[in-house]
Amino acid sequence: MQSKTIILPESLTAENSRVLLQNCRKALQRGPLLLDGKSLKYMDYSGDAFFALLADTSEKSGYKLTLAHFNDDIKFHLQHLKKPKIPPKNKVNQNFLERLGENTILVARSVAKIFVLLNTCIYWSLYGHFDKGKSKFGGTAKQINRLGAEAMGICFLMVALICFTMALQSSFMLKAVGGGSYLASGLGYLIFAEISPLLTTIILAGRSGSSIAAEIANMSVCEEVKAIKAMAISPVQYLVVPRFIAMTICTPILSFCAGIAGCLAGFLIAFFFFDISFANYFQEIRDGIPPILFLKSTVKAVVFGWLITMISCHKGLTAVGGADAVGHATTSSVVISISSIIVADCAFSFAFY
Amino acid sequence: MDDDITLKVEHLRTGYKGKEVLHDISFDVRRGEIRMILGSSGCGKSTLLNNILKLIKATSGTITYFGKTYSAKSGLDYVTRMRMGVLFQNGALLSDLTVAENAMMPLIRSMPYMPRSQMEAIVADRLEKVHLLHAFHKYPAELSGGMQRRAALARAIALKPELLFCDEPSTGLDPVTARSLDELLLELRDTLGVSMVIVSHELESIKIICDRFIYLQDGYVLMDGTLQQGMESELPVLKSFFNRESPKEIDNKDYYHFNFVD
Ligand SMILES: Nc1ncnc2c1ncn2[C@@H]1O[C@H](COP(=O)(O)OP(=O)(O)O)[C@@H](O)[C@H]1O
Ligand SMILES: [Mg+2]
Repeated sequence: MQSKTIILPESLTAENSRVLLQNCRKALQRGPLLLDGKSLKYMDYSGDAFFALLADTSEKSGYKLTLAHFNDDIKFHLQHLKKPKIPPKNKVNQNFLERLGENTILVARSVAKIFVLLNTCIYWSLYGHFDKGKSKFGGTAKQINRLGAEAMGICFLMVALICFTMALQSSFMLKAVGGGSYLASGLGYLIFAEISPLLTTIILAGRSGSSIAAEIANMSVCEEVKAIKAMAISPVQYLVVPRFIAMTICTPILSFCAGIAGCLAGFLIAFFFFDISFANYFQEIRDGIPPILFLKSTVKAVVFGWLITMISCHKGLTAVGGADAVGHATTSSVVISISSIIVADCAFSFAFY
Repeated sequence: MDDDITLKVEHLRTGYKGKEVLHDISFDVRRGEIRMILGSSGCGKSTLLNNILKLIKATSGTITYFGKTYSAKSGLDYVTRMRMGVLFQNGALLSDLTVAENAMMPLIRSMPYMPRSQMEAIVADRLEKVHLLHAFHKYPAELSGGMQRRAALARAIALKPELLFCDEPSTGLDPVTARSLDELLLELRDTLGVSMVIVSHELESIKIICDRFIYLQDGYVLMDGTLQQGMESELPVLKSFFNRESPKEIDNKDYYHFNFVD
């Protein structure tokens, strides 16, 4: 076959080699190519890649590449051009079932680990904390402040706003059927049974859970957890237990107080739409809520708080890699805690029905 | 069992998920000596240290600490851990504690009854040793890299360990700070009688502090000997490591073959 001839310009640079390369490769895929370098005097780093890529193309297509009339300098340079050996990617080919199986095992293991973690935490906070011989690193007060107290504002505000909106929405309907007197009892029940524990813990998952996960993940990535282990200190005792105790104390209190904030917000509607007095409003709320509901609500809040702490700490402690691992641990801890809170809430409404 | 040997690693084999890094490592550390682990970066020096500290699990092999042998799978007990100190590659100070509180951690762990003032006195003494007493109340983020490394060293020697591990203590430091850290290690060895296992590839500090070394290559111990033996070794890798000769150009036959015509 007649080989195509392409004459190279005087200089081969990053600017002009791109189009030239495309043309040459196209030609090489169709037939043999002769590159005439009689006027080529200079080439920069892109020249190496130019000839290397052409050699590869020629090898693949099976058509011969010939270089004619090159000057000695460039000839010498090209003769000593090394073929870089890029190692193959060792990609593991898994089919769908294998991946499904592996992920199932992974999830099952994580769940098991989270239960072990919870177990250890309960041990340390009950037995370990009161055993005089055990070393105490403190930090619980600081965590109560950071995870609970500082989240107070946002929790109260959000719950109050949502309760206000709910009261407003239901007031239209109640007004239509003339049931304004049911507003307080209905709202109160709903707030303490559902809204305040659920909403408070969802906000805590986004605020405090993410901060737990990010902080511990960063410590895992920066060898700090290793350093703690090397000092014979249990990372669970040092890192997880203070947060666990703080969340166990803070979540029910926050949830209860947020519920009161919600009731107060609902009172605005009751007062302006139905002319219900403050004393009457709270009397009705008290009458509408069986005392056991507060216990159920507290249990819910504590369990949701544990879910947040355990998931965030687990994600943090198992982070490996760099900054991306910290980000991933934070995101997934928030997503998983919120979903598991909602699932657990469903389960609770059946159990407490 | 030889009483003079503080650490003995035998046929250690380890790696990460799906990739074995160290195939067969054996060496020992005598009392009061500075044993260095040399090798190019990425050859598994940190992995070896993490294994000796039982921070990652080995596949097989045994490690003997102070005459007590542990198999690959078993964890390290508290008493043995307390007799060892570690200086991690970048200090690994806890960022929410001050330098003094960091150095106090091992004390709180091992002596929960000790009054705080006494712990502070001990910590002050250790910080004095690493010339960092002025940073007593500072947080790690307020210190430079070299100072962090020294603070971490103070934490590592808080309990007067019998065995000290250092992962690249002087890498990334300016020569003056690096030399003062070397001096410090020698001083600690002489005053406290600590045996040390030090990972490094800074030739300058190796020449100053090394007693004996092992050179790791491809997951095996390429050479185990004294500094003198290493400097005189005829192995090409060691020759180039100790700067007596530049490494031979590896004859890689993979050139492009172009067809030239005139
Ligand atoms: N967490 C990890 N997961 C997988 N491979 C790792 C991990 N850490 C290190 N490696 C691999 O192990 C080898 C040895 O690493 P390392 O012990 O850190 O080397 P160095 O001698 O520089 O300290 C390297 O090839 C590295 O790619
Ligand atoms: Mg290393």
